Amino acid sequence: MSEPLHSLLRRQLRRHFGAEDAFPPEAAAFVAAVDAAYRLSDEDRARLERSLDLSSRELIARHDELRAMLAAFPDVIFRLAVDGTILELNAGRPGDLPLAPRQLLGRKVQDGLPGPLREALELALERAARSGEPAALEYPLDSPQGRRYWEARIARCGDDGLLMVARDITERVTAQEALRAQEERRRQSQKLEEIGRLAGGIAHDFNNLLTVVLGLADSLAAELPEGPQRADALEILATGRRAANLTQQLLGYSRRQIISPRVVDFNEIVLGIGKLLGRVIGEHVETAYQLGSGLKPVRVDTGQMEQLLVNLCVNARDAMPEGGTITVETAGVRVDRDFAREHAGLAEGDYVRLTVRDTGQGMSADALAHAFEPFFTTKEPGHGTGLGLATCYGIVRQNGGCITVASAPGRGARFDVYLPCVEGAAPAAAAAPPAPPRARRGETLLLVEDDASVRRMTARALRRQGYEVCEAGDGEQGLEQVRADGEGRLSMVITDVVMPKLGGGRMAREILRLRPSAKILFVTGYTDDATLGRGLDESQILRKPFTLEALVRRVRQTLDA
Amino acid sequence: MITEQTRWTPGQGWSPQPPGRLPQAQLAFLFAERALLEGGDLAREIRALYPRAVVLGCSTAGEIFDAEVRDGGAVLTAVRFESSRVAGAHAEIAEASDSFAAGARLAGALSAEELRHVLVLADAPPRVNGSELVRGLASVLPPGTTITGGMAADGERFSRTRLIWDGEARGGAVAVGLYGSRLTVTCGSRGGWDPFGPERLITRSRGNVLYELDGKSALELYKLYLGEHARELPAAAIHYPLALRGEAGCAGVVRSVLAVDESDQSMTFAGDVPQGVYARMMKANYDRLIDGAVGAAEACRKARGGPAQLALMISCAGRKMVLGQRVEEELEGVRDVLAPAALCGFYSYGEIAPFDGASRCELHNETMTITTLAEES
Ligand SMILES: Nc1ncnc2c1ncn2[C@@H]1O[C@H](COP(=O)(O)OP(=O)(O)OP(=O)(O)O)[C@@H](O)[C@H]1O
Ligand SMILES: [Mg+2]
Repeated sequence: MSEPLHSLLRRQLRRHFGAEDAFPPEAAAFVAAVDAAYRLSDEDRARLERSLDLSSRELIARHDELRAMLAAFPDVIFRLAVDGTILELNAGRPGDLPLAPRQLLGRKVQDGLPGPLREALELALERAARSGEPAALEYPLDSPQGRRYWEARIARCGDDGLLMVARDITERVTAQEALRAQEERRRQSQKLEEIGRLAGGIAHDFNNLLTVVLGLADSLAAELPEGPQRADALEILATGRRAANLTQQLLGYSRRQIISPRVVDFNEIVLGIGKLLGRVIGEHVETAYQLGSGLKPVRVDTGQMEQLLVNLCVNARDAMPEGGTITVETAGVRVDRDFAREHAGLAEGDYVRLTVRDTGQGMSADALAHAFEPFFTTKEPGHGTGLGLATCYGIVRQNGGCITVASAPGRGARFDVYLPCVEGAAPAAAAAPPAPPRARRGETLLLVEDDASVRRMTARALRRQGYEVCEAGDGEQGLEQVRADGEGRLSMVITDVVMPKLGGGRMAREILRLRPSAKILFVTGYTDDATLGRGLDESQILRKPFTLEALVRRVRQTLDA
Repeated sequence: MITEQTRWTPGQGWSPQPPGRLPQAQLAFLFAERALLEGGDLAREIRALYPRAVVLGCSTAGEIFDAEVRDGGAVLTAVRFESSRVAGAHAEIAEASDSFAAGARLAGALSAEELRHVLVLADAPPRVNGSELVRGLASVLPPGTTITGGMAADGERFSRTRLIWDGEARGGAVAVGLYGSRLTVTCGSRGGWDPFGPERLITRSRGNVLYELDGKSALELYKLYLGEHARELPAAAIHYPLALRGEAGCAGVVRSVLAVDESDQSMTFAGDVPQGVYARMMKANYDRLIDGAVGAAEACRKARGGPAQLALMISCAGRKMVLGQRVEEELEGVRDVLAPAALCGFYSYGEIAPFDGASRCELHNETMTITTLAEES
């Protein structure tokens, strides 16, 4: 026999016959047959094993490929059992998982999540497992790196498994939220503008009425002898002035206050008003100044800025009945494109930022939302009109800036005012105080005013000062009279700005074409550069409501100029 | 170093000769069918024959005598060293969870001076957790001390096991320290099983008790693979040990099934099956198993460089069940490599050996684990 017998057969022969070749010769054919059968079954087995080995290897290779594919995704990917048990995972980016991937294996994906989220996830898993419909879920999760937002998609995978892909959508969510906040701010400022227009309109009409009331009360007081009636007239005058003050504030809010902006160093305004502020704020509150150095100049109305500072500081004081600190801060800041986009009215560029901070009681969300609306106040009746911040808002917007507030109950409040810097202009010296009025006789004035009672009252006051007064009810009539005034009797024109038919501005331009040297004083409580035209300064404008004294002084000044 | 070897079989009694020829022996191994150890008579008899020896042993799933394996008998190997010394200790283990502490206690009882090697025998799970026992030993022994040994067995019954210590049948674990500057001990351990099919995650387990793979009942999975042989559980499960994927850079271990519990759908393995680890089923291949045994022997021979006098073979019961009539081929393979060393040993429910030569010791399953002793004269 050439080949030795199959090893198993040899062993069996040894065991049963004592030696491999000790079997009876007549069994040789049988032994050969068994040997062949053993070999055949060995070959069979070897073939099967080889197939199983190869297919197992392929299976593992496919699985590895799949794993490599998953690893290429930046998302966190879980292969789950239907109950959420994590069978495999791709860790996403570092820090995306609370534990090392190895420690998460075998745990349930919903374990360790906050209660409501856990329930929502469990529901989604169950739904995806039962119906085969993919489920999706968005949720925030707090991690040591801060709050992050996730979007989880769950789909059935195989007969009894699930695949869950969790994607970090923090960037998208924050962008959306920023957009929403921006939209909210835009809506808010639109609302403020609308209220402003309304308030401005009402204030304008009131101004006219008050001008009459004040004028008549003034002349009554001047004409009446000392006595109870004169005292009443003076009382009317005083009350009227308080009302005028109020309309003035409303006009400030609606940005229709007449302003005389100057180029100034903002710190000077703050320093200049420091003493006054100290007096207004009182002793139980400390004031700290942190004024930035090297601020670029701004072009603002000094009076308005003082009003702004006083309003903010008074509010801060009111928020600290037990005492505290107000910090007034200025700084030069650069507004970039993003910041400008988020704050209506700002453009990219250099700004001075005025910050008024306090350590007071802070504001509720409701107060924050409405703080800049006129007549919003949380103060007791009689203690606040709710016009302070509204005025601030109007003032800042009128000066090309913006105002923001940040506050929370118990955490104090912080108001930031941004005012645009002007390039290449040096701050001007403070204007000299106006000269006292001096009445002179023999001069003829043309008074153009559409409100008859205002016109009558004004004319009467001027006549009492010895002026000749011609009256006109609108611009066309006024122009008519100038054209008719052949030898130039008219010394000057006093005109309202907003009038039917022909407004004061256009009429003035016509007059100046006829008489380039004509002296014109505009009387208005309601102005913007568009109706008046550019190039006017404060000396050409008289603000409504005016006192007779102011009227007389300004007429004199104009005639003398 | 002189060895005496003999075996007892129900038909023939002691053969080739009754024990007791080496009364001065310092070390005596007694591996036997559990029933023979139960009463303690055999152990006491051996104890009396070798009054100066550390006598240790256990119940088996087959006793190895030279290159032969028998069931239902006993093999005795007595060793007398020229200069080397032997010291041993025993620890009872009331609960499997005490295994680590018991290991530490055993190690603490062994003097560290000139300690060459530690041999360990232990009761099988569920009474002892072999993985924890080895960890406990290693936690106290001087770093680098090699440990080999195995878990007692109980034929193919997977029921109770017995230890022999000091002439008595016991539970728990025994450890024997081998001492001496002229003694060399080497070991080798190889499996030869091939993983197949997909990787599955161990999603629910406690210690060496497995409940779920990939979130599903592990027992159901085994039944599916075993088909009609599921009736023969737990023994049948020995055909599909689990390969555990090691941590990155580490070799994995193999775990075989020792018991199943239908009531809680659990499967008890001969070593830990930690949750969160990937596992694959393994299958046997005769040639690879036999190559594995030969590989273990070659590792021993390579480590020494010369012939050994005694080789202690501890091979897994699962190998014997799978190899069937061919089981002795693995013993012959070992003999071919290690001759003329005397061979003894048993088929076990778990083997203890370093992964490779000197690295960390671990409990293994389904391996042939060989420990060789040689004493220079
Ligand atoms: N610094 C602040 N701290 C806390 N709350 C403030 C602060 N500033 C303003 N507020 C809140 O905003 C509201 C509106 O302020 P605003 O200045 O417009 O009106 P006011 O102070 O109530 O009345 P006034 O017209 O007298 O200024 C206040 O009533 C207050 O509730
Ligand atoms: Mg206020």
